[in-house]
Amino acid sequence: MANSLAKAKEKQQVQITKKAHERKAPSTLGRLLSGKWGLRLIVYGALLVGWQVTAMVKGPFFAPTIPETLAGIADAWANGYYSILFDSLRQMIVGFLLSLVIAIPLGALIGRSRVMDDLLSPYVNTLFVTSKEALIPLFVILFGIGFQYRVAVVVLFAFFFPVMNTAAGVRFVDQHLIETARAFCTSRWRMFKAIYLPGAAPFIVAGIRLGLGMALKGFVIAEIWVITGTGRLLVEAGSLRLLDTYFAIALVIAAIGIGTNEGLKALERRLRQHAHLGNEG
Amino acid sequence: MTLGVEIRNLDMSFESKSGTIHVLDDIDLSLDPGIFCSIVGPSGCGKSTMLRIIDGLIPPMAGSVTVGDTVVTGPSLDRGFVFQQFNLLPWRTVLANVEFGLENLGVQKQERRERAKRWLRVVDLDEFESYYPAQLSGGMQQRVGLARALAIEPEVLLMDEPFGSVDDQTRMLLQEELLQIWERDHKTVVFVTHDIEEALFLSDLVVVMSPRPGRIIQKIAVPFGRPRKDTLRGDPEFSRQKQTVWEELRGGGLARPVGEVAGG
Repeated sequence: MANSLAKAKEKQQVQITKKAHERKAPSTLGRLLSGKWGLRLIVYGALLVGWQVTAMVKGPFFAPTIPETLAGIADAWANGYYSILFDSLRQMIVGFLLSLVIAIPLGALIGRSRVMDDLLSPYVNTLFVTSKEALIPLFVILFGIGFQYRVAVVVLFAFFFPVMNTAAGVRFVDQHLIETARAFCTSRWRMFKAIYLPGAAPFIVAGIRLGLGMALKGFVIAEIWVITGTGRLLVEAGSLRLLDTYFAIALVIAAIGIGTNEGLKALERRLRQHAHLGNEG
Repeated sequence: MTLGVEIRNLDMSFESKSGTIHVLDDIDLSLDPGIFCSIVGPSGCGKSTMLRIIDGLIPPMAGSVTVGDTVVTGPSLDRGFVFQQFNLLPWRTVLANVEFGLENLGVQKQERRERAKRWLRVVDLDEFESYYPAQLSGGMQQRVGLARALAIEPEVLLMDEPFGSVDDQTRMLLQEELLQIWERDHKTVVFVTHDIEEALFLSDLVVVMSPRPGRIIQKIAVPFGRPRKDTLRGDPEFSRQKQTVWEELRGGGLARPVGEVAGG
């Protein structure tokens, strides 16, 4: 009895070792599927299948199928919709750059100057938590519905993250470096250029990245509100139930957003690495 | 050219949550032009604060510092500062770090570059000019820090435990290297350290300070000639001098029991 028990135990042991062994050397497929891209393949694949099935069951009145959407992307090109999109994007870029030109110096001032912080931070914080959409009617009154209006709305949306991130980054610049720059008689103006801004660079790029996402959101909302440009395309495609066009444009905008976001993320990583290595030394 | 340093009735205290901390108490010190002076004392005795007051980074509560004929009211490019933590700008190359002070002096780009390269050759780092600080060892980083301070060609060199964060062997090599550089022009140096041997090996004058509030206990003229060789460290007279400085430090209350210090 005792003997057979011991044997069974031994057998179990062997099986466990075997299993451990198997786990150590999974198949190539298994390794691929358990990696980052494998997981994405599974999850996104499931989403795509879900989309396709839903579209097929519900019909084109509710959702276009994947092939219809892909065809929509090509049709949009044929219909010249992308020139409308790029026109909108150009205005967005103007607004976005303008927001950076205001936000980064302002953030640096808030981060370095007690007075500026006390004066401006309450406004920045209040506007940040206010629904920016709620201010759009006011912007229509102030700026009309043309170029100025769209740029202004994009600035309103994009402005906050670069301000707050720059202020935070500048605040956290290594005190030792600031003392060093002072010992070498660095002027106030050059402190910003040579110490504060480079020291805060990873934070600033993160702010720019978040701001860009907001700018993309802002231009779509601004245009939908007054039914113009790309916003008009979306509104019309939606109300006419041209969902393949609607999805196609939405996908292209999302793709532009993801692409620029990834590019800025890579830059941010590089800057962070730089700063981190510097602290190690 | 180099300048002397006069410190008169210097007093310093900081405000903190738990009250006023008296850091420096009535410091009087007169340094002739071209002297190499070390300040030794226990940690927290205010020696680094004193160095920052000499540079003008911190204004004193009372008393004055005069460099040459000028009363110090703020930092000046007449004085070069070398920091314990090197404090190189991590986003700049070695060469650009050495150029930093020269930019503030308004030196034109071409000349700036040449001068920085020349000083990198002096500290034997000319091969590393395009490296970033993080790619260098601590000892190499501090040589960049030294080259940065020397490049502005200051009248007085202020060094705050510059070799405190490198390993022993590197420290000894850096000390010799510093002496070789100093022999070129005999600039006035104020060198803060807690390492007695370092102070004796480098200096003409060793100033011994008490624990907080820092007072000057003793000024010891170092009897060894120059230029000095590494073999000096093994000289019996060197050991005797070390003992003398140590006894002064201990007499100043360095070796009080820990509890008593904390209580006081």
